[in-house]
Amino acid sequence: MSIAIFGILLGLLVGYYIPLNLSGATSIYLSVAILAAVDSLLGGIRANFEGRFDSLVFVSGFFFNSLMAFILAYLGDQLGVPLYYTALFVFGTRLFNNLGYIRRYLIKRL
Amino acid sequence: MKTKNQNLLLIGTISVILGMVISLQFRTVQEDFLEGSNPLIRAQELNAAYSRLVSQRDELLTEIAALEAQLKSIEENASNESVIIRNLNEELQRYKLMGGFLDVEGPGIQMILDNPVDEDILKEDINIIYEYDLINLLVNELNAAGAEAVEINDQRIIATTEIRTAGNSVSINQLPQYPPFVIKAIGNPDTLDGAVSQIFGIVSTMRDQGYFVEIKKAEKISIKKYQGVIGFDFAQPVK
Repeated sequence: MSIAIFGILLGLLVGYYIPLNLSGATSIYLSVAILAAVDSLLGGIRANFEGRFDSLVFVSGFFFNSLMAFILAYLGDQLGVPLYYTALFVFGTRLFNNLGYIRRYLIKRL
Repeated sequence: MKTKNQNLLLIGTISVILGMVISLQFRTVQEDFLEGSNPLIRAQELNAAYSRLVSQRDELLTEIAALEAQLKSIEENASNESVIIRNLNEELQRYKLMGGFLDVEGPGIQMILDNPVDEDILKEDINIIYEYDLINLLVNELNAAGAEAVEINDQRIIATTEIRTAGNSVSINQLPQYPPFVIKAIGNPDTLDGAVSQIFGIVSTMRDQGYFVEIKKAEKISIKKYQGVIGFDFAQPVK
């Protein structure tokens, strides 16, 4: 847990000082990227608690899910249909599922 | 223990990426996208700024009118006192008339240019805003036919007037103008009408493209004077 929080803080700092400017048009991709990262993170923490964390699954999951989400968002952009909703929906559902598992695990441990 | 550390490292890495993305997006929204406020507040701010500018403009216009009246009375008083000043003043009026700095009225024509009324044509990607070259040609034709004063949407056409597409409007006298364009010209109504509405002339070209063009001859057309100020920063008279 603490490593995740520390990592996010470090990332916030790095992102704040990185000399990269994004236009408003990329906000769809960033929203998807944020959700993909949160999803992987919570999934990883959950797997870690359950003792079945697999680094290959974790890393490949993050990159493949992000890639798929980007492709959907791009395709949606080109077709003029908000296809990235799919990614948001799936990531969002899984996020809360994983959060539920983590919460139960923590409560059990009390 | 080694794998445990490795796992933590991976989680940490993803966390760093998450943090980076969040702060990048935060910075984008704060700095460029909406200048630091959410869309609703931004819209309200812009709305307030707009009405402030409109009321400022109205105040300034009243001020201009008052100052002009004052100037006129001063000129008249001075003219009454001395013949030289009266002559100079008459000459001044003549130059103002030539330059487009006086309200004028007289016979002429009034035209209305607008986007196609027919919805089938409207669906095609044409817009009168992008046809500034046709508007230029039209003004050119009117001048060639002896128009003594021309204005488009209350903007007097004078020596420095530009007509060009700028964004989603046509910039005339550096001010954005939107369709419908009401073009008024003072001159011989028949000559002016004939010059623009001849066969294969400018009006038929525009109508062929689907634009709405209406021409009306009138006994009395009134045209406002040029509202701006012309400064000469570079051109100096040769002595």
